[in-house]
Amino acid sequence: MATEKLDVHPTRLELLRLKRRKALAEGIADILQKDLETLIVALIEHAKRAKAIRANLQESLSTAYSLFIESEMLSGTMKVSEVALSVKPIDFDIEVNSTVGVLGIKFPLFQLVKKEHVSIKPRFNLLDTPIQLAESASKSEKVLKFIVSLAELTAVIREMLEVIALKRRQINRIRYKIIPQLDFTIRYVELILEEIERQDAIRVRVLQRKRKERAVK
Amino acid sequence: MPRVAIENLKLIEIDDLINLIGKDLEVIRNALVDSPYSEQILAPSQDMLNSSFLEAALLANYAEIMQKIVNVSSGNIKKLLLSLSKKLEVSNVKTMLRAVKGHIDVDKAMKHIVPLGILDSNRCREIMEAARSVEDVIAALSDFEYGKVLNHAFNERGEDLKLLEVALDKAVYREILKTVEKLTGVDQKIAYNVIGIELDAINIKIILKGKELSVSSEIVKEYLMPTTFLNETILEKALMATDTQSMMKRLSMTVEWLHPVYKKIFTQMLAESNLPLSRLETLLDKAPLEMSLSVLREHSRYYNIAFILAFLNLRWAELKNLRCIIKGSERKSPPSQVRKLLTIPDEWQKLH
Repeated sequence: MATEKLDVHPTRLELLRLKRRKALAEGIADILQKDLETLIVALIEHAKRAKAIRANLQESLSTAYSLFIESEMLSGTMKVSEVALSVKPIDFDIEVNSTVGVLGIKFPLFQLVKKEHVSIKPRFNLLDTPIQLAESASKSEKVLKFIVSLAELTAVIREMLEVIALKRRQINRIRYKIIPQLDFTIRYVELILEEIERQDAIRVRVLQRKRKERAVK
Repeated sequence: MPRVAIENLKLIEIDDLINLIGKDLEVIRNALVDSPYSEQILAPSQDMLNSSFLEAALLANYAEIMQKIVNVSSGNIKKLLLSLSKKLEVSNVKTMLRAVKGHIDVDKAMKHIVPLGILDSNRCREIMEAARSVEDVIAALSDFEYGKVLNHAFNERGEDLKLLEVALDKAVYREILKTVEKLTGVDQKIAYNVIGIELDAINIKIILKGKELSVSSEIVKEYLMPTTFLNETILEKALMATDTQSMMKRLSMTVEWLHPVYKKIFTQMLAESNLPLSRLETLLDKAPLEMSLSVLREHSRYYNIAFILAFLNLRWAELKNLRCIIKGSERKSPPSQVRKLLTIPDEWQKLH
């Protein structure tokens, strides 16, 4: 890949400025690299937590499903579907807030909010429905909490992945574009300065020779 | 009675029933074609072969058998059987209430209607098509006894479907108990034992469920059915028990003086009181069946109501078992899970 030279005056002052800019760029790249490593460690921790929640979710869902099937076996598909459709649904909402996480990044915070107060009344007819149906419903309610936690964690992971990608792009830009460009420009300025020095030396020698010739005449 | 004895012979052998566990729905259907359910299974239908279709066929068969026995009975036994058939009629009323409340399509809800008694399919369809609310259903049923019961419950408790359903069940069981009182001699004793244990099992199940779901005892009381052997005081004490084990201990002492079947069931429940409630429910579900078989053995010298009640309970248990097996096959449930939910008499279990 051809590296583009910066549009600078090939002077000693500019060379010093370029060298300072290079040192600064290298420092920024190091800081960004450390941020990236911190983010990756945090990401791994979040991924582990997500895996654990997913396993809990799967277990609770399969238990709820198994209990639901048992209630269908005992009461019949028709009755369970009738009861399910006529029972008052649970009214809930999700409150979205934000919190400051690793490296000061804003992470989303989801909270399950039930709109109704906890009722002391049973949801299903105590006489007509098997206990499995109530147990399945209560397990499903617990599953909602896992789903919300998993959604929150997924949003956090997505946010982190975006920041990681951004940091990686910044590091790559510094390491593979800005620093080579500065190196190239420094080399260019150095070459120009060396060339000027050589020309000056030749000029001095020519002038000295001419001065000697004039003195001999 | 002899006709009931003939019907009794048509029950599916428990071994054959157990063999159906885990089988494909097509295999189960073919097995049912060679059973007393053939007429309903082979009836022309637009439905695909699924658990709902088979379940509807089983219920239709039960309703038909019930009607058949009612038709050949007479006197107070006929009255008792008519009141027992109201349990199915009430399930139709409940279906209508739920369908209207849950905005279920009328054609779909009609599949849940069991054709029996005064509330025939056409009448149910008319009510559901016209009704826009639970109140409309209650108004449409005002000509029937159920309408009055529902109206009273609605005015007292409002539009709480659960309490409306409970009011219906209470009314039906009160009527059943009244018809039992009209019977005389051994028939009355047998019927009271069989219906009594059924009601006691229901009440114990309600209390256990209420405790499990942390429902307040005042609310649980609203769900309790009319009492028989285990009266209000006993149930109140059971409600006050701190845990299932202490409740079972107290109840097993109370039932000492009752029929030996009570002792057997409650001893089993006490031994298994630390198991999930579903297991205790299965034991309680078995109680009426065990009592029917026990009274049948006690009074088998001549025909009496024990034959009819035992047959109806056996047939109902068979229907429930078949429903369980069918659903288990459709959902590909493990055979062990299906097996534990079956209502099988202890005698058969001891033999195997």
